[in-house]
Amino acid sequence: MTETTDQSGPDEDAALIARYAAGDHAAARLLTERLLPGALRQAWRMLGDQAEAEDVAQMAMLRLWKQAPSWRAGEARVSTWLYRVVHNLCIDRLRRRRPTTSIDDAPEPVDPAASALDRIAGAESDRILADAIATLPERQRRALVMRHFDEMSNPDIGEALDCSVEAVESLLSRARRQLAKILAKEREALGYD
Amino acid sequence: MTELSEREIAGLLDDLGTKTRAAAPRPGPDLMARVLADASDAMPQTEATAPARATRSGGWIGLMDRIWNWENGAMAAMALCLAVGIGVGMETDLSVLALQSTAEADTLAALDLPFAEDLL
Repeated sequence: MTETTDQSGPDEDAALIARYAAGDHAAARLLTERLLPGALRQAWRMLGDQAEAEDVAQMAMLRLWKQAPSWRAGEARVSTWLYRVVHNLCIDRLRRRRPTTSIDDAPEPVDPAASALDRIAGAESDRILADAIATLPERQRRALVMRHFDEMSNPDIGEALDCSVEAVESLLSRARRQLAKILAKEREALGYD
Repeated sequence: MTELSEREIAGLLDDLGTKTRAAAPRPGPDLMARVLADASDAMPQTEATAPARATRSGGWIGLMDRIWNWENGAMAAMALCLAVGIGVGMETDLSVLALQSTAEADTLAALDLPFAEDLL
């Protein structure tokens, strides 16, 4: 499991938030150790740039610190809340990048997160898979990425996407079936006979 | 052309996810320090975190206390008075001291001051 997505049991992060809000510096350190790696990884995956990802991760954590006094335990998991903040901050940055891209270089307005994933993918089979993921409808793609890349549970994905667990399962299933269709002619390239 | 099964697709996705996580940067000490500094700055002021401060007094003592954040405002006021006194003493021209010490002189000429002629 990742640091940001420990889904089982009570939300330990929420308890740490309460301690931080009460003036416990040690709680801030624990929260940082638990949450920052995941936030950085998510931002890096979406942006494809470490310096920018670090800025976003720091900014997201700052929002968490400011939110702490009014944090209401039980309403949302801290990790999921932070995931959404990082996602929104990254989307803002990617939107600001767009004007610098020449029209000739930007064929289709695909999800920038998937584009970053495509850059990360090194091997040919990874690139084929990343390209296929990029063609999925946004919610299917986001659910898929949260499940397989960020190792989030279905309930957490549902919270992040504002939908039920059943809807998440449906999104994931449709996404995989769609990928299966897209990748049918790539079996060999993907290592299947 | 046979489609991959959902399980095979899930396996491919998990593999790529694992590679992506492995390639992702980890927070360095600099980033950790920045985040913790933010946490410290943003920490709500509670009875536990607020610096223990004595009740501030008013007037000069209170002012000194606020300016220098000294625990003892009276000490601050006394130190300021001492500094002002020393400063005045160092800056005062010797000729002024001479004027002050000539209460019994009859004329400016009798004072034998360098600028006395100009005054006359």
